[in-house]
Amino acid sequence: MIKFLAFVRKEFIHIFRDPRTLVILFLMPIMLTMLFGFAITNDIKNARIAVFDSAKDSLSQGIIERLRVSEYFEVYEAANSIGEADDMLRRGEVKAVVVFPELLASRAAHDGSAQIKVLANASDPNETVNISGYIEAIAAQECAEKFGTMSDAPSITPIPNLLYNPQLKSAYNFVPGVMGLILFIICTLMTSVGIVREKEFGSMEVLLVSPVKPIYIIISKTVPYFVLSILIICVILVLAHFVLDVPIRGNLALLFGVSALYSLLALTLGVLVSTVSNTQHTAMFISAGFLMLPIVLLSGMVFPIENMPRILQVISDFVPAKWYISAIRDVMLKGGGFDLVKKDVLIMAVMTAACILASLLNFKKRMD
Amino acid sequence: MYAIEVDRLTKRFGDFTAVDGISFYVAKGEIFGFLGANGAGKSTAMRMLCGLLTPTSGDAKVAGFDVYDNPEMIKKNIGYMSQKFSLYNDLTVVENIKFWGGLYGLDGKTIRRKTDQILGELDMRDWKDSFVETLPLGWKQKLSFSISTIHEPQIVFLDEPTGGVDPAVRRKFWEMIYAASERGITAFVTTHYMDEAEYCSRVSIMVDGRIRALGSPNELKRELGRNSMDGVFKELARHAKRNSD
Repeated sequence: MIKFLAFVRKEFIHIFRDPRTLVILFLMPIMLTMLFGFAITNDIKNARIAVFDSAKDSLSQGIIERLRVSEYFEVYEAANSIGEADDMLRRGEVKAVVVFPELLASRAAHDGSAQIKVLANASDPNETVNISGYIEAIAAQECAEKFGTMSDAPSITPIPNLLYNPQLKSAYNFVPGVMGLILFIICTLMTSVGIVREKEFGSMEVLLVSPVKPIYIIISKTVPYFVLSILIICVILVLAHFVLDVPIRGNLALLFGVSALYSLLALTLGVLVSTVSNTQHTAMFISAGFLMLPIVLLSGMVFPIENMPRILQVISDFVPAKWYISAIRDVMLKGGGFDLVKKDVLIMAVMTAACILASLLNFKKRMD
Repeated sequence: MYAIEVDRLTKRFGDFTAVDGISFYVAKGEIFGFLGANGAGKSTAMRMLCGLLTPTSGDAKVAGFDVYDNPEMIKKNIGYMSQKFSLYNDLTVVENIKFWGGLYGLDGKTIRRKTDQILGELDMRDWKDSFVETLPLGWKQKLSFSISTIHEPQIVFLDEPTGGVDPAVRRKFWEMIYAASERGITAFVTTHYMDEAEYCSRVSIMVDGRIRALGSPNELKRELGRNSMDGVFKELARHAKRNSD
């Protein structure tokens, strides 16, 4: 225990004496959180939606048919009640539910305008705006065809009814993404570089000759980053909540639990990177180039995954941040419980186990 | 009992035999010079003795413990210092002492006593809160040596401890090795400097994975008819087939 504490203390000293490390640790999360408060628009393709048709007239059926054939949407299923529609949204099976009110066609014909409701999961607000826009355009086409020219046609306005994020703030959406990125940078990049630095300086050999077991050397190198990453989650959440007005609806304990699991996963990934690199440059290259880019591009942090080509969607399943970001969105923005995130948690747990196993095998191979 | 006993120790990496059946012993308190050109198999042999590598075949006992069965006990009873890395540059002198002392399981009281003793011996009290980075290389290496023996090991392994240091500082460094040897600590030293080989009680010279010569510097010089260790070494290394790591 003395050995272990001596080691952990030394790691903290390394971290707090290096200005560059401190910048990455504390300045970067703050900057990224603020920067990503701004919106980035994305396009929609094959978004899964459900319809709830109370009108059942020619106009509503026409619009549904158009939605069905459009490349933007995939009409998943017709809901039989509003309650069922809400369930589908909550379970994440659909991105939005289009609700057609009774007597849609006759209202449109008499008043010259009518409204349809779009219930959307607005924890991804960019997407919701896009979905509403596309639905409006498709409804307008149908009206134009039914009632004559575009200019005389009654207009159908989709009224977005946003669940979970009624103000449609995109900052809401990005906070989980930033958390996924920052925790990765701290846990994977900095840990792998930290371990490889000892190899490069030759201190690893001296440490290995000491009576401290290699596994403890690795653990004590990861502990400080783990502690710091929890601290940084607090910083990001406080900033998001009080500066960007992002709501934190879910259970805080669950939020931290999921974050701790993800940090652990990122740490084991960092250890794995360190077992295959001999220089800090290699470690940095693998972490930043090979692992971090997919987090930004393929985790759903910036671009909706469902718009990507199939192959990229498959690859995105292997990006740990994808599962973390989805879980954090569910917990933080939707106020979901463990049930809602258990798939993400399970996948991250399996990934962690795989990384540990791979690191141990690699480490063993190197020792012989 | 010997500090180190090695019997036909061999390490193969695939087809390559890095260490080819070497046998020797080192007596307690002896200063044993372990010489050889780059790639002769020195560091592989040393890594096996430190419990970092498992031998392919042969036997070795270090500090009375078997390298196969008890590498953990070996690690507790040896110290290790290498030229490549001495100390953490971003830690102060005292923090380095504390860290390495803690790593060998010394308690707070012992570490404080040892810290005071080391600072006194090296005349470094005024420098105790300086970052190691700012110390001259010679000081670093002396401090590094003191730290490698902080837990009073039975044997200290010194891997080219004086690389890059001028002769005057090297002599001072060797005085420390002598002092440790008088306290009963066995020193196992690799070096490139043949003048340092003269300071050893006995030396072995490895060529192409085998020990080609073993004895006191005077014995070896007589045997090969040379008047310096440098001459002895050149004579033996001339026939080497391997060039480098």
